[in-house]
Amino acid sequence: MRWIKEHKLISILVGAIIFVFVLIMVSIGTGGKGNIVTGGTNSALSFLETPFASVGRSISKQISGMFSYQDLMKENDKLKDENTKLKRQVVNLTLTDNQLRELERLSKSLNYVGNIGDKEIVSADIISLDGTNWMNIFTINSGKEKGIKVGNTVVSGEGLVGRVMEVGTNWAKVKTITDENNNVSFKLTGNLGIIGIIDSIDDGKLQGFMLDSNSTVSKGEKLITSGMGVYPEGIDIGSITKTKYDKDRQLQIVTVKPAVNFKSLQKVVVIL
Amino acid sequence: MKYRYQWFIAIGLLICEIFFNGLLSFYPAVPNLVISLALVGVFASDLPERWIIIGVVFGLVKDFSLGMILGPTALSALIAMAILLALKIYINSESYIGCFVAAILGSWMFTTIYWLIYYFIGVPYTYIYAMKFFAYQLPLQIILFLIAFKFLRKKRVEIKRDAKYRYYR
Repeated sequence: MRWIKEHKLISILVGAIIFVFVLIMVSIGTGGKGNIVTGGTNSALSFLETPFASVGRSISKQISGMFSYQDLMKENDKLKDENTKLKRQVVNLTLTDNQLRELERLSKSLNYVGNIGDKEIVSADIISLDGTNWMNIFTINSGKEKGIKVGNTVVSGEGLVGRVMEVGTNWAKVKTITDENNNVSFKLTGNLGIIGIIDSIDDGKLQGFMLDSNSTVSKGEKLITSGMGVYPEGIDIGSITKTKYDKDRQLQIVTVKPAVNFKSLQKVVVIL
Repeated sequence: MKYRYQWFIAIGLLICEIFFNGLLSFYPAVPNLVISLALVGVFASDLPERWIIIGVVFGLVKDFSLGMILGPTALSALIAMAILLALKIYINSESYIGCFVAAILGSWMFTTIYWLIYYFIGVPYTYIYAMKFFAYQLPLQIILFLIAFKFLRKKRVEIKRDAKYRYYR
């Protein structure tokens, strides 16, 4: 006791290191799941974070808007072209829509039960990002009160973001696809019959393989989720940046750049 | 500086950090304001134990809020603070050059230990990838260190001067 009083600084330092080390071990042991204390702290922090984060984001938008006038004009032209193309597509798809209605009528008459479409969604703002800068874990301002559960898929306008890993009353922590070694099954938008699996992550880039090693895939092709596994079908994952044939594993290996720019994310949608 | 003021400043910086997260969304890295303050406090103050407690508490708050597990931010900050305390023997803690060196070493130690903890947990990022973001973060951290050091040093010099000339009053 006397030694502790005489060496106050070392005692505080060693005591704090032991305390935090034990905390890490307990946290790893429980799988990183929160408890009442962490839940309460997060709810209070979420309440504090939401207004400040939104003010910061709106100022950032204003500033970047001032300096990106030319880019916006170019984007506007591009969107006009895209709009014209889409209008043409809508006309063509009207026929398909009629066919779809006929199919629905047929499926009803045959009592066919297919995939459940139209899932409920909840939109949310990102209120804080992980302080490390290299990881992409973030907190959103919606939680249990809006029906969000652990494991729900999170998407943005650009594509697949990740999954909800922890949820509280008015907050939820989201882990992106680049932070979690999770197998994601995909198919190519160009040929929906070609299926593959993303099985590893390397510094923010996704790596996977094609189930049929003879399938031809090329750089720039876009991938969407296949619906097999944890993520729903049809969500944009990203595009292929590199392909190579692995002779040892006899597999067609693909490197994929995610469709979502995780650093500039501001709004997300949670699929319930 | 009164202890309660140190806490108010730390809370203020935490709010600023949240604000900067939104504001600097176009920049690849956001500085760790509260942790940097605690590091510079340990280096430049005569009462480093106060800053150690602030560093641990706010490190845990950040872990509560964002981390996958509890403790990595607090532990990284603690080890970085311990190293800075040891370095005080070799580096002049009253000079700006000393502070500059401490800013680089302290920030680098914090980032490295943080990465190491998550590496053992199994996060799929290499050290080089983490260092790319650190390169963007470091200039902001150094500026913050120097600003905080300016105020802490001024107070420290005043206290020392008053103590030295107390008999002449």
